[in-house]
Amino acid sequence: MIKFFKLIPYHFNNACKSIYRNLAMSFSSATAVSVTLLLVMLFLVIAVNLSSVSDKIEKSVQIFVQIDNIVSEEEYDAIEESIKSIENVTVVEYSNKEEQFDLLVADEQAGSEYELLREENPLLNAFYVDITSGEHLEAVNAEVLEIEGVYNSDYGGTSANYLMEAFETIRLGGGLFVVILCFLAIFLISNTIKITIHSRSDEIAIMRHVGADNTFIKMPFMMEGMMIGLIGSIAPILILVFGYQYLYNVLGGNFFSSLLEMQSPTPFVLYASLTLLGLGALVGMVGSFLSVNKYVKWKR
Amino acid sequence: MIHLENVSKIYTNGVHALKNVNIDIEEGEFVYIIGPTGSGKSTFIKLLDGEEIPDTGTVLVADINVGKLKHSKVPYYRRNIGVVFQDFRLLPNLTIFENIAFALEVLGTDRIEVRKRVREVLTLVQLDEKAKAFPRELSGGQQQRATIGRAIVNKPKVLIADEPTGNLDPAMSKEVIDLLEAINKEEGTTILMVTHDKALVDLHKKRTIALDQGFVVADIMKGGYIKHD
Ligand SMILES: Nc1ncnc2c1ncn2[C@@H]1O[C@H](COP(=O)(O)OP(=O)(O)OP(=O)(O)O)[C@@H](O)[C@H]1O
Ligand SMILES: [Mg+2]
Repeated sequence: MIKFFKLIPYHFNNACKSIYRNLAMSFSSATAVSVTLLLVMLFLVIAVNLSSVSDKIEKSVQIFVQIDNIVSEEEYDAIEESIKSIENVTVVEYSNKEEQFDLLVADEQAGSEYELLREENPLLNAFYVDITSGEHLEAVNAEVLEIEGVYNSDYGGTSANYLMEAFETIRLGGGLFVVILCFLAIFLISNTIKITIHSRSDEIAIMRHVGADNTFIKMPFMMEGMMIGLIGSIAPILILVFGYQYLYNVLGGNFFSSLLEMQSPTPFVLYASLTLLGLGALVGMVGSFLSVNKYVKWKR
Repeated sequence: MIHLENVSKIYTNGVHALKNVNIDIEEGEFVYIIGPTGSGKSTFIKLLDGEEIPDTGTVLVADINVGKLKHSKVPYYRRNIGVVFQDFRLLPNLTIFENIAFALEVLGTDRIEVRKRVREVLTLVQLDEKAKAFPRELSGGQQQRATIGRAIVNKPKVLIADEPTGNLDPAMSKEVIDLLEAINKEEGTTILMVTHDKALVDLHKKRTIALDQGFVVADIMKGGYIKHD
């Protein structure tokens, strides 16, 4: 085991020489890794930021229930109770039509013009209904509509739902795409290593003659693959470190609207960089492992 | 040191390369293996270094049953023997020093130890001035001396040479045989040398084992080439 570690500098040296000798091949494999990791990086940035957004959307899902004008004040408690008894409902909050009017005035830019209408307030008394998560929106809404005295019930529109579904699709599709790209990078690295193994078959034969064991013969190739992977991860990491910080500063921490709050760069960039570095090394090792296992078969 | 008992080797293509061979070679001996082409000389060497497995019989080298070795153990066994080939097999982009050091580095030998031992070997094979040269800058005889240096650098008990002078002119062949004799004498290494070189065998007389069509046809202590007709 000690011998194994003592030999690392030796293998490292060999791997460097080999990368240098097959510079064009090594470069193209490293580029493949770079492209893959660049996309992984973009995907990470989007996925991580979207997941915080979708958390927010999920939390803010609310149903807006308007009560018919003819319903008497006494019946309100009963309606509130029926809403509360529906599954997945957490909080029910009452808001009378005066409050609704205030909100309307505050919301509209030309609010002051509405003031004239305050006397004949056409709005309805309402309940805000919070529920546990977005996926129950439709079911709860349907049940609320069944309750007697409910004039209308609505939620942030199907758009909220569509948004969530879109996020999910992006996450799945992006993930799949990244996995495919990883396989491509692994394939390219394993091809590079195959060529290295081929160009060094004389050396391998001589190694066998002087009594090198298989681990010793395989090591430099594994190391070479890993190094190609690591070299490939440099560019995406640099782009991430500087690009994300820049984007964060320029956008003031938000994507387009305050709903899309960006992850702060300090822990995120570090974790993402380590992920990219690890992934680069892994892709490189798997790639070289495949070739080494296939082409450095033990024979006597 | 080397003990073959009822050894036969049949290749997958049906060629019967060795037939019921019995050979005993003591520690410190220097033995020639001769015979016409296709008589099984190289096969004999491949059985000794573990490259091929006998179909019947036992091959013992330094008390190790070579034919029964697990594949994964073969590299460790090979560290006990040195092999030299007709076609040198030096790595072209390493210097002579590095080529010889290679055989030790593969074993994980300490750097300082490697340097010391390679210097010793370079002196023994008389290539001190060529340490920094590349194989292509050397004559055939010098290259063959370098491979012999590589073969003995980890002090093997047995040195096996398959036609080491096959590509060399008589003067260079003499260089090589002198070196092998020196190694045999100074380091006490058991040496087995396959050769076609009649003149050499007649001049440097040693125990000579002759193969023909897979059989041992002669084993002469006094030496001298046997005529085949
Ligand atoms: N790997 C192999 N597969 C099949 N047949 C082989 C193999 N190696 C050698 N042979 C056959 O075995 C026989 C003995 O071959 P071997 O190489 O041992 O002869 P040799 O005495 O070394 O000949 P040479 O003097 O030409 O080197 C030959 O008929 C050869 O064709
Ligand atoms: Mg031969």
